[in-house]
Amino acid sequence: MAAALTTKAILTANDVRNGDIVFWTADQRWSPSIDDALIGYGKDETDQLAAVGVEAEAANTVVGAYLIALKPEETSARVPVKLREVRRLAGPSIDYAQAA
Amino acid sequence: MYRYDDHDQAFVEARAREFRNQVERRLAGKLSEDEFKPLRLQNGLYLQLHAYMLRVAIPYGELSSTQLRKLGYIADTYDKGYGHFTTRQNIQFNWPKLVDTPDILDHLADVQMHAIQTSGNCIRNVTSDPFAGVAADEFIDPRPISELMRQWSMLHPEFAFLPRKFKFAVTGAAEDRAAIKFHDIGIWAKVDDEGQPVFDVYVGGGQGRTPRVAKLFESAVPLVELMPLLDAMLRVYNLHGRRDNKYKARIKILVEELGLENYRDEVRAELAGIDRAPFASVLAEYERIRNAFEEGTPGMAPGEALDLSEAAPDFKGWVHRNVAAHRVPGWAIAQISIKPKGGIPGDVTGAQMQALADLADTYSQGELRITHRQNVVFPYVRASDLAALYTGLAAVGLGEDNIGEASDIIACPGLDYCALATARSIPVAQELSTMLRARETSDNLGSISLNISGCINACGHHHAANIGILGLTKAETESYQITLGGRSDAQASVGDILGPGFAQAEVPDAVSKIIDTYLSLRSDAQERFPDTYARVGKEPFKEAVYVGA
Repeated sequence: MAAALTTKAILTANDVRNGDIVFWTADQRWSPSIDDALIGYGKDETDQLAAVGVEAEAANTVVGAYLIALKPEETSARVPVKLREVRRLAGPSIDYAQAA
Repeated sequence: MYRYDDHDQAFVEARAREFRNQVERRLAGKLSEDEFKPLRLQNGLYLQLHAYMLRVAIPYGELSSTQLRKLGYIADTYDKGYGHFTTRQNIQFNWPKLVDTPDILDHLADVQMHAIQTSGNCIRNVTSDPFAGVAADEFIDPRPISELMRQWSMLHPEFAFLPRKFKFAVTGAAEDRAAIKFHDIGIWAKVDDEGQPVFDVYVGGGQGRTPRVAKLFESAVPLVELMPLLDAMLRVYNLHGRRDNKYKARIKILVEELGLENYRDEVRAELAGIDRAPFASVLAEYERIRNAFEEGTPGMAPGEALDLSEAAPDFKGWVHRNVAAHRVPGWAIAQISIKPKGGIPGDVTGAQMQALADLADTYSQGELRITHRQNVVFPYVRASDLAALYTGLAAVGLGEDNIGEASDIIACPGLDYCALATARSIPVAQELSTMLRARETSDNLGSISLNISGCINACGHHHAANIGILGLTKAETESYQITLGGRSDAQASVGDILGPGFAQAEVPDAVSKIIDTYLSLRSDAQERFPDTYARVGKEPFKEAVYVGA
């Protein structure tokens, strides 16, 4: 798992069984909705989130846990800094296959 | 086509059972992800940007209708109703659940398929000419040696953990349709004066961040020497290939750092001491496989050539662009475009797979091929059946007549699916396809290859395209770099970077200007894009795209 971020971040992973993207929530569970994601502010909180990810991977409930750095401008918005994460959260930008 | 013997079948079934046990242990928490990851990768199961992805091997791109029907069933039952044909002639499913993958592997084993060695630092799927066995310009059918190499490389104990992945391609025709010079080892099968198979062996090709055209290692290698030679070439690579830096770990870097002559000396020294006993059965096994292919080839009595004098214009256009010369008069190789206008390159729905399987049964003796350009080939079509086949294809949205045209775009999954990607490929391909299809009907663009990769790893083969597009991330925005003049045929070359990158919305206009420049500079309608580019150089294109902007 990547090193903790010190500004503003959420914890994400994939569900082990089905591979779905999930987010760690304030009520201590994994949710498929980014709107439920617990935002960590500052080093202490993001360190705590990172630790949750390590524990969850060790418990084999999720796979590939890491922190997504969020844009700090708006304190409550969940807008990733990195293009890769923007695209990951948005899902494929295309209709599936030819006839879909 | 080649059929598994009892040993092959027992092996894939045992392997599927083994993976079921591994998944059960993973889900029970008895295997950590660190322990499980190499096991799932050895069975083609990745964790991608959004979900797991399963890559299924299609050896040298050859499929039966029964196998394709099963792939369609898997798409509809365990995925989201589609699959994606890749530039390695394989198929990927983008949304399988881990809990379902053991059942998927069982289904694959039922039809003599698997996902072994479609990932990891091992010898990957051997690719070949999709016209193998039926091409009019073929010296020798490349499938028997491809199959022999598949058997040799499958679970080869020395080559399961190479410094990096390793890709072979084989062709046996005058025209290289397998891009052999962009592979770690490319093999050009020919026949000698006595009619015996001999092989020109190329080494050190590849794309990625260090694109290289393979160099001729040795020509006219006799069959009995080929497998020991490949073994020795891999051994030297396994020993000396760099494991300290994954970006310098491919054999192309070793060959470059050692120099071809030094690498050749090392291989010859290795070959001199190699134990020949494991290769004692090569000739007999090759003959067994060759006979198996021959027995699986349908009888094809020569027939009449197709008369198009009364044909409808759309069918004529499809025959002109999508049908290739067959070795038997009166028969045809039908190429089925998986590049509909504005569509996703290489994506087929489960329903389309079922329809293609039915059409293959009716018109191609139940056999088809997947091409590295992400299209489908029917190898055994009577010329007199082409019209009915075209009607059947058009009815399921597969009647596009653009094989070899600029809109026949290769595109990797890009940042819509891939965890390694730095930009999206598919939406760019869709926009270009829409623009180019409109121009192709009016401008006689001729044959142009246009390939798009969503990152420097170059799965979309952009380096080898006449017009290549590489998607990158610049300041957290997608940016697209254009290369010109690449080609993957016998005159293989790496494209030149044209200049600064473009925003996604600017790419169609830039490509349009490049094509305008080509049309204005080509000596005549027969001069192909890479030949015009080689003659006039980069500057006129650069000026049109940047100065004229």
